[in-house]
Amino acid sequence: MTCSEEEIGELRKIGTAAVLLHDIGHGPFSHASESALDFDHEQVTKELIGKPPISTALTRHNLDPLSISRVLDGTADQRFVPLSQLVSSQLDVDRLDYLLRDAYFTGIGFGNVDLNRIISTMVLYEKDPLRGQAVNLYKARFSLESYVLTRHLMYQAVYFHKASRGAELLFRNVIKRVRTLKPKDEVPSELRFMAEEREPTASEIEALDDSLLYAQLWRWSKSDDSILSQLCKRILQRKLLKAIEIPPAKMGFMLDEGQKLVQSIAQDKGFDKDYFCTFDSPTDLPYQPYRPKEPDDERNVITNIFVLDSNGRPEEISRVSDVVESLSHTQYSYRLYCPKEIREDVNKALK
Amino acid sequence: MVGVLRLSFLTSSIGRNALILLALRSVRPFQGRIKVQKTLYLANLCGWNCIRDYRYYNYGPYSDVVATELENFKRNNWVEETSSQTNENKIVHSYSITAQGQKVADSLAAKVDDERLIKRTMNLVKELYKFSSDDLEMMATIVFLRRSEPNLSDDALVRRVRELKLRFGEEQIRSNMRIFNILRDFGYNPPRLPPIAAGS
Repeated sequence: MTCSEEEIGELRKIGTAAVLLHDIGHGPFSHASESALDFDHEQVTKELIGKPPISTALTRHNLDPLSISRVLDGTADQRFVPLSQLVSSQLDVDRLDYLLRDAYFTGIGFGNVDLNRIISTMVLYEKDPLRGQAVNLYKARFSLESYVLTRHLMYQAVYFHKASRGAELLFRNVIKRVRTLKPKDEVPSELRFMAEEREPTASEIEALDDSLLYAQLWRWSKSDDSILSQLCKRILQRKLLKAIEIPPAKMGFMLDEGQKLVQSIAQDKGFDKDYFCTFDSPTDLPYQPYRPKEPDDERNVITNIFVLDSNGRPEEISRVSDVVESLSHTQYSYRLYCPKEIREDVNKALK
Repeated sequence: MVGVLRLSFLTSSIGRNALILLALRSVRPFQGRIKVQKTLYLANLCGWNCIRDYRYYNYGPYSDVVATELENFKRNNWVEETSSQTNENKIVHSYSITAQGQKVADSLAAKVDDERLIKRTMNLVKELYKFSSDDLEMMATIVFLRRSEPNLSDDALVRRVRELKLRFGEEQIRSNMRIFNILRDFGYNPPRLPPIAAGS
C-alpha cells in the first residue's frame, strides 16, 4: 500500500484522534459498570464523538466525527483498515498500553512488553489475503511470544483475579437489587434510569463517576432492605464473596444439581441464593488471553497475530512458537462465588 | 425492554451460554460458522443483549467471545463439531448439541425463566437458518450499520453495505433489507444512537 505524504498525514491525524477517543464511553469503575448498568461503552463512545463538545473540537481540526466512528467500529473503507487494526485487534495500541500500565500500577513484575521491538518490526503486508494488514517481521517472534505470555499471566493474576472479580460481582448484585426494588426515594437523579427500567443514555453515563457511586453505596448500606444493605456493606468493608474454582468439565453438573445443593446451603444459612451465590466465567471479561482462530474462521487478520516466516509468508504466531501453541490450549476455570461463611460447606457438598 | 433488563440480572455468561445453546438446539445440526455468528448477532438483539463484543470484520459482525464459547462447549462435550468439504473446496463446520449439552441447555433455559423469549428465539433461529450464509452476512451487516449510523436512509444504507461488500450486488443487498421486517416480529430493540454529523 503506497501512500503520499499527505495521505499519511491524514491517516496519522485520524488514527491519533481515534486512539485518544476510543474509550471515552466508559462509565464509573470502568468495565465493571458496563454489564451492571446495562450499556455498551463503544456505543456511548460513538454517541459522544457525534455531539458537542467532541464533534466541534474534531471539526475545528478538520476531522470528520463520522470517519473516526467508522475507524473505531471497523466499518471505514479499505485505506483505513490498518488504523482499525491498530485501534482494535489482537495486537492493538490499547492492549499494548493497558498491559504495561496495569503491570506498573499493580506492581506485578512479569508484565513487561517489548514495545519498541514490536512496533519497529511491524510492516504492512502487500498481498492477499492479508493485503493492507499490519504483520510483524520474523525477528519479532520472541517479543510477540513474550507479549502473548504476558497477556496470559496478566489475565490470570490481574484481570481474572478472584478478589477483584468478587467485588465486581457484588457491585453487579447491588444494581440488580436496586433494579428489583425500584426504590424511587433511594435513587439519586443521576441513577434514575435504574428505577425507570431502561438503559442509561450516553449523557447519563457521562454524568456518572466513581465518587458518586461510592457515596451511593454508602447510602444504600443503610437501606431498610437487608439484602441491599448487606451487599453494599460487603463492598465497603471488603467482605467480598469467596471463589471456588469449578473445572470446565464440572460446569454441566454445577448448572444443575450442583447449583441446587449450593442454593440450599445458602438458604439454610440465611443468605439469599440469588444475590450471594453467583457464577463467574473467564469469558465474562473484556480482557481475554490470546486464542488463535482456525485458518477457515472469519477474518483471521484481526483475530490472529501474524508473523512473516523466513520466506516472507504470513504465519499465525502459534505456528512458529511452541510457547504460544501451548498457551492456546489453556482452559480457564469457571468460579462459583459465595460468602466466606458457607464456603467450607459448599466445598464439602461439591466434592 | 423489560426482558432485556431482566436478562442483565443473570451473569452475562449464563445468558450468553443459554442463547448459544438454544440456537444450536433449534437447528440440528447447525451448519456453518458464519451462519452461527450472524444468527447469534441478530438473535442477541431480540431480547437478550448479553453478547457485547461484536465488531465488524470482513464478513460482518463477529464475536470473539462466541467463537471462544463454541471452543469451550466442544471441550466440555456439550457440542460436537464436524467438518466437511464443499464442491468449491471450502470447509464447512457443523455443530450438533450432545445429550449432555441438551441437559445444560435445559438448565440454562430454566434460569432465563422466560418461556416466551425462549420460544421466540428458537423460532427466529429456525427462520434465519433458512437463509444462505451470504444472505445472513448481508442481513447482519445491514443491521450493524443501521445501529452504528441510525440516521442513514435506506438508500444510503444500501450504498454503505455495497462499499463494504463489493462481491454483492445492489439488488441482493436491497432484498436483504427484509431483515428489519423479520426482526420486528421477534422483539428487536432498535438503536438509540442520535445521528452523527457527516462531513466537517
